[in-house]
Amino acid sequence: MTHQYVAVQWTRRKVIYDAILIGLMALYLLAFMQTSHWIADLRGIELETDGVAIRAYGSAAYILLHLTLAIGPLSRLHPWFHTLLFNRRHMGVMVFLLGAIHVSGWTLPSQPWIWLGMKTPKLPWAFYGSVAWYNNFGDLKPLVSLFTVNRHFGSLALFPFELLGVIGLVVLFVMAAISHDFWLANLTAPVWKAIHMSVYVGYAALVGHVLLGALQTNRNPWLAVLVLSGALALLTLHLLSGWREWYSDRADLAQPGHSWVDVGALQDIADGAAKVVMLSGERVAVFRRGTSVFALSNVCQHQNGPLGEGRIVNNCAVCPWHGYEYELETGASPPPFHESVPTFPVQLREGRILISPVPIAAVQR
Amino acid sequence: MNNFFVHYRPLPPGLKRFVLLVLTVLVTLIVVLGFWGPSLHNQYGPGRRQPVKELSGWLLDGPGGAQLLVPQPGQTTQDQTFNRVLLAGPGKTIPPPAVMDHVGDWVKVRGSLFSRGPLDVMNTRKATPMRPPLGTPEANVVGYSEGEFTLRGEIVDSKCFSGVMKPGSGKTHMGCAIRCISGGVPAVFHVRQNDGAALDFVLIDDQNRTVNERVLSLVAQPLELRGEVIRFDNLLALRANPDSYRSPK
Repeated sequence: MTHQYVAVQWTRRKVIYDAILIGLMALYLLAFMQTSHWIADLRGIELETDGVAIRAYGSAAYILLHLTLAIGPLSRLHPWFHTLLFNRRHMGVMVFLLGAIHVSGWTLPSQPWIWLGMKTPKLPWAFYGSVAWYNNFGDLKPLVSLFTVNRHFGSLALFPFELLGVIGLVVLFVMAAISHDFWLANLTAPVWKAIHMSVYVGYAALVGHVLLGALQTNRNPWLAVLVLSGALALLTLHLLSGWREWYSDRADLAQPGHSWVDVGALQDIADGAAKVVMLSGERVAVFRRGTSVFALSNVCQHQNGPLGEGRIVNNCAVCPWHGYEYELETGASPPPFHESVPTFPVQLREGRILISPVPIAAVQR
Repeated sequence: MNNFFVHYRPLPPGLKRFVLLVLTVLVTLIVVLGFWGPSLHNQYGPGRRQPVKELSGWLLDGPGGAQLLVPQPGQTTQDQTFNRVLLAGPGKTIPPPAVMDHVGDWVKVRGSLFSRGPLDVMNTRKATPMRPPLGTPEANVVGYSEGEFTLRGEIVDSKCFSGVMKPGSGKTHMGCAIRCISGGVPAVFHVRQNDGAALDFVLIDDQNRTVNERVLSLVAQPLELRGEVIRFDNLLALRANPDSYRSPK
């Protein structure tokens, strides 16, 4: 929850999360590059280290993108995966950074050093990124070459896969650039969420980039199996979680002409927890606190998280995604925060919970 | 409250085991992909970079591009007196005027030498004209015809294919190959025979001129070429009109 904008609202768990993330990616990159050297030594041949680094960073970004996109549906299928979801934005930013390094490498621009009459210093693990390595040092500027060198737009086999990579990277850049809550608050959650749904356009472009690029040059069937397995696993997870939501949304309990709807027994809800019901096309989170019940919109104002999968903490419904809190009685966040969700009139009759499907407007603070 | 996680509160004990399990799975996945992945990539071409060398020989502009004819000690057969080293400049370019101004002379050049099978390519910036050693044979500029053949393969740039890049061929290398060939690096037709052996032919047209600017749209894709194979010492050239190049049926 935020009432002032800071770069990152660090918590101990965010630091641990990021440390693990960076550690895993460093492990992958080191393993990929070192193994490439071992294989080359075994075969008694020289390694082209720039190409190896380009492949290492590109594949790291691609693998991490799959993990990032799997967290959403996994969280919808089982709440324990919320432990991965709360800091998913940092994962997405890391995907963009790895992709950017795949494209631009680690080299410093030479021009300022030339002006100073000095030699360009070499960074540790310096390498030319894919744009410079394949398009620079010739008779055209690298970016001009990138966009003009392959014009086989009419052929699937020869299609310029580089352009699909550019589309994917642009999408990742936009998402990384507006990932901060500053943008979420100013663009509003629906607009921000809609922009972030473009990750699937980016993902499709990057799958095309790999299928029409790396897999055209690397005919190893296992590489194709890995790429297709990743895409299939993501598709399956999204279809499963989507089908589950669709199935539960079908059970709309509201009936025409009835001002109060019986949504179940009090004892069906664990104390401190909630159940989600569908009323007139709106998901409602019904929370139980002892012998009291409260009905709030299920949609968290932060990122449309499932409030009904949260718990009651300090008399507030807490969203499981990022911990946004809403008072049970009013649906308003406790001061100094100003987010709020609509509530619904609720009654308890002989152990049955009755809810009016007409919401009470969210309290504005 | 069991197993409810919010990032600003302590991790519930029941979730710790799950997080450790997920972490174990992720580390295993990363390790497996990190160590297995490199073996799946086509990044181990046979080309090799030799230490910076000085070579002396006849400097010619053709067939197919600039080349240095280096006498082969003890080699006096009629059809292979010299070892032909194709020349390129720094980057994806032809050698600079400091080299090309001496075409037809006996010169000394210095640079990185890349070799892949019989294909040798040197990056060089400067050629120093010298008096040829006594008894040096003249260069054979006509070559020996090996006959007409139909060949299937791919156009690559001789420089990257000889070892600057791995693999230096295929679609992912198309951009680089086009830049090199557009910059004047000799275009080579790489053919893999049925027995797995590879042959590389420098491309020339039916007037013995370079074809670089006319084949840019055909680089790094399967092609079928029919033409006359001509041997120039250790270098094979394929003489055919670029308009006759076509995709294999």
